[in-house]
Amino acid sequence: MKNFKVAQSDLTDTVAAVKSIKEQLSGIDACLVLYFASPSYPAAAISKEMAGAFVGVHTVGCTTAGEMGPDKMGQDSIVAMAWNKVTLKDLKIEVLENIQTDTEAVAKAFKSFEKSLGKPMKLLDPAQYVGMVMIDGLSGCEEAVNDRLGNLTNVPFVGGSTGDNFMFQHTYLFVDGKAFTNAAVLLLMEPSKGYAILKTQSFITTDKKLTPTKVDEKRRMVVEFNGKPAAEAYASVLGISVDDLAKNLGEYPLGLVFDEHNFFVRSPMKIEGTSIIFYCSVKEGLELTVLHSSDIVTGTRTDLAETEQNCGEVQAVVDFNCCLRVLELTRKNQLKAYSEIFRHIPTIGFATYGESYIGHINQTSTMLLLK
Amino acid sequence: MNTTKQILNFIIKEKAQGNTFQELNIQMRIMMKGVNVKGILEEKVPDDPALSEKLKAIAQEFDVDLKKMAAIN
Repeated sequence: MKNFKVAQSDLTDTVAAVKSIKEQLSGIDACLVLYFASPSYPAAAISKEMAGAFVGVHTVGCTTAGEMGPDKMGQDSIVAMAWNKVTLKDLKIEVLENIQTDTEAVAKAFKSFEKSLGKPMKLLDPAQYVGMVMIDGLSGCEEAVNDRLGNLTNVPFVGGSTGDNFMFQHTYLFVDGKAFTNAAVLLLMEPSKGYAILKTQSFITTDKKLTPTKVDEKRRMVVEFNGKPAAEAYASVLGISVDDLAKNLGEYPLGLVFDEHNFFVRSPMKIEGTSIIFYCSVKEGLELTVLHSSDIVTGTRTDLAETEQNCGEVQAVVDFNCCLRVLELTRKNQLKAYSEIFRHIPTIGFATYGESYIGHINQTSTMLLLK
Repeated sequence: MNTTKQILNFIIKEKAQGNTFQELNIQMRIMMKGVNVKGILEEKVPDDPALSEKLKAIAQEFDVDLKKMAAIN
């Protein structure tokens, strides 16, 4: 019997799509069905139908800005992965509700985990446990949720922000028949054979630097770089005009660089007046490096191969892939080439409104690899 | 070793609970909170009361008791 099975349906009718998913995932004694669904399916209905189709199995998922499944990458489908009971020694799920106002939501969820584990989250062995996190991608709370996760445990949480096909209206999380918004879901897992996490971003660092000297963190806005209006300083360091910067802003993300192997992408969204709004918050006083893009397919293939070589046989992958990367892959006609990187491993993923690992990041793919 | 570096080192060691791989992750977590971790560890950042206060706040968030550092010293 297979340990992981993946499925995809692009049937437009919710009931028919779920029926197809159920048929494709038959013959596996599952403890979890993880699924990512287009916002074109009604949220309450898809969650209810999935729970109804997999009775006695946890069904957890979210809406997306695109899905990646065994058949293809695209929009307007459901992708799902069934996890055989033998793949996880332990699985605990908590929903964080009202994340925009409840600053204790992570602590409350952890209290519940601790109650059933019988030990504090801060003492859990990160080699034994791993977390998955999905956060409402329109909540603006990803930084706070990731920060609190890291404060309270050393168990790594990997995941992404839910999407809604770039409509920017509502995104949803699905847990066991219910649909949630302004929420996050945590899955605390003890994989039977271990796990690996891959964070890959297809950029190289340059010697061009910008230091945010005035920011509005809540709005993810940089007002000034290097003591000058942000747009002017940004354009100046690139050697282009502000007009040209505005036209091609997405081509010039910045990196919070720890070292040459570890950096965190901060992607600019738009120029507002003389300020710049980013897709994630930027800290005042911490130098950022201008990044130069490289090929996503080549970079991801290389990084995945290296991770597989280091950790041995990988049985399944969950890919939280930034929607900006997916847009670039679409523009370059590389969607098929990207999905073929994962052809040899059961994989599902979705186009996210942000990625989670150590913090909230952009233009990155964060992956959970199950051994 | 300056005071800021001493505090930072103590926080990293305590939070990592002896796991050297975790030390790297914790350094990156602290960087994400807005601290120039590399600069402090490489002693390129001078002692600064405001920075020390920020590190003390991070210690509290991590549930790291800095009184133990005073006891060790």
